[in-house]
Amino acid sequence: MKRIVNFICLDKSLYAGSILIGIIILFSLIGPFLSPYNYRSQNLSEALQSPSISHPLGTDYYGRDVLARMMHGGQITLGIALLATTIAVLIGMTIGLISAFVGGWLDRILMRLVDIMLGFPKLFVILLVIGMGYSSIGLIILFLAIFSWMEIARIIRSEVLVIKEQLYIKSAEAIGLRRRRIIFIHILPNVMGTIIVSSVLLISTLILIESSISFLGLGVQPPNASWGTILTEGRFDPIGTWWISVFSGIFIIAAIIGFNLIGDGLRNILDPKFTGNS
Amino acid sequence: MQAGTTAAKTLLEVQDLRIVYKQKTTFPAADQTVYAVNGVSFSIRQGESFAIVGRSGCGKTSIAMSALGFVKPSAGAISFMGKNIWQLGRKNLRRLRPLIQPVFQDYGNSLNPRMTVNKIIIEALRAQPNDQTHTDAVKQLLDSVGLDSEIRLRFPHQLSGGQKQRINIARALALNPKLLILDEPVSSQDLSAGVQLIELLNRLKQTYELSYLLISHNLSIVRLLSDRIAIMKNGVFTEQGPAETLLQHPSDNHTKELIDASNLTNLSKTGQV
Repeated sequence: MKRIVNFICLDKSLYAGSILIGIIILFSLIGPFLSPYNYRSQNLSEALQSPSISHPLGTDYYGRDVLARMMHGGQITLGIALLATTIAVLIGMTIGLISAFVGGWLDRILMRLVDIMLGFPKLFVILLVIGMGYSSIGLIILFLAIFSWMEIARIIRSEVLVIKEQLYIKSAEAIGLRRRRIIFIHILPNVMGTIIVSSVLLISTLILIESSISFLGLGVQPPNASWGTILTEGRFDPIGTWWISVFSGIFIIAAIIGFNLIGDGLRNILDPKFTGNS
Repeated sequence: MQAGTTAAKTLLEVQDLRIVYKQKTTFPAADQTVYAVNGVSFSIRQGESFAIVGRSGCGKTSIAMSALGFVKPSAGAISFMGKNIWQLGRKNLRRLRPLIQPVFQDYGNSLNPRMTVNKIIIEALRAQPNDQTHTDAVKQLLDSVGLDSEIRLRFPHQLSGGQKQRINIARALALNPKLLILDEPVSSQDLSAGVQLIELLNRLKQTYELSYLLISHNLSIVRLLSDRIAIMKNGVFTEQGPAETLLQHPSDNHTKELIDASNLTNLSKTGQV
């Protein structure tokens, strides 16, 4: 634990980002146990109450506590973003590594696949799937992952193409090391910094995409709530019921800023020539 | 019988080596062809130092990279201990590789930036059966190249140029090689550090019974390290022979120019110009 704290303190951006994300994660994970309200329980007599001591973030059209919904929404939004990022990074890393290391026709085929996927109309696909009646959180995670691995694959491929020509890789080959060891012990640690930074930045992108999809009503479906669905609940009267959209918007922005700060900080620290505080 | 004995002593044999680089363009007719090495033959015997000297871009590093199994020759053969390295399968080539070790010109880039000196040398030691513990072996190797054992906990960016160069040599020695390929070993060092390194290389050659393939543009360095010298220009050897004979009685104009250039370099380095 002390090592983690020392590592975080190495860079100001990482420090600020970690505190922000730490607070959001604690709020989402521990908050529901402390809150007297359930995110689903409706109380129409308390509908559309502005922020007060009993409901610090107010209530929505069904009298549900917005704070309790924000805590639950945090779990859903962050959970979707983290899981989709993990899957996207695994796919992107594998394809990027294979493409760069094997090269030749396989590289060309994989890179054309990346081009095709980048040009794919994502919204059309999700609209089609939701329209067919298939809507679940698992499907959203899969959808986000399938349409997000390409950038990672491209970044990893270009990094590996540079690194595999470095003389320390030639030296590792000259030693007589196996290809597997060269990839996992000599190449992968040298692209790990890029992978981690890209992953963290991807989390913030996916939070935004998930919120946008949910805002359009195509993402997380009621009674579940993500920050995007809460945001859309305030759209009927944005001035009169400002607290519904403003607080969910603040959480989305805070999470995106937090992950971007962590990404920037990690980029600095994971540079092998990093010497001190930025 | 005599021929058999000679063959057994020959470590590296290069026959009519040709290396052609093709730069592909959209239109095959416009492809550019560069003849980096154009019919070069030489051999290196056990315990011998052979130097290839020539100006930048003459093809000397291509020969080294080909002998290391990195650049495939367009024609000709490279045999190490009687085995054509370009006809060995990947597995057999991997087994042979520890015996031919490079010390690259860009010694900073030859060390994995994410590994400590200890880890870098242990990576090489893993490839060799060894009775010693790895830490002891690392300390001994560092000592043999004149470095303090404390240095093993540092990362490459925390080392000086000379130290990085010696770590490269220590890593190569960890594999008990027969042949070291030294690409411009002292080109980026000042005169005194260069002289110290040459002394070290001469000492290591005796201790570890090494052979050297030395690649350089500087004859004044080469004369201190090599038994035989080949002068290279535009992908071919213009002259080849024992070091003293070639330096004292050069027959080719290009050799004379290189000797004059190295004399000038020496004088300027010692402040006599």
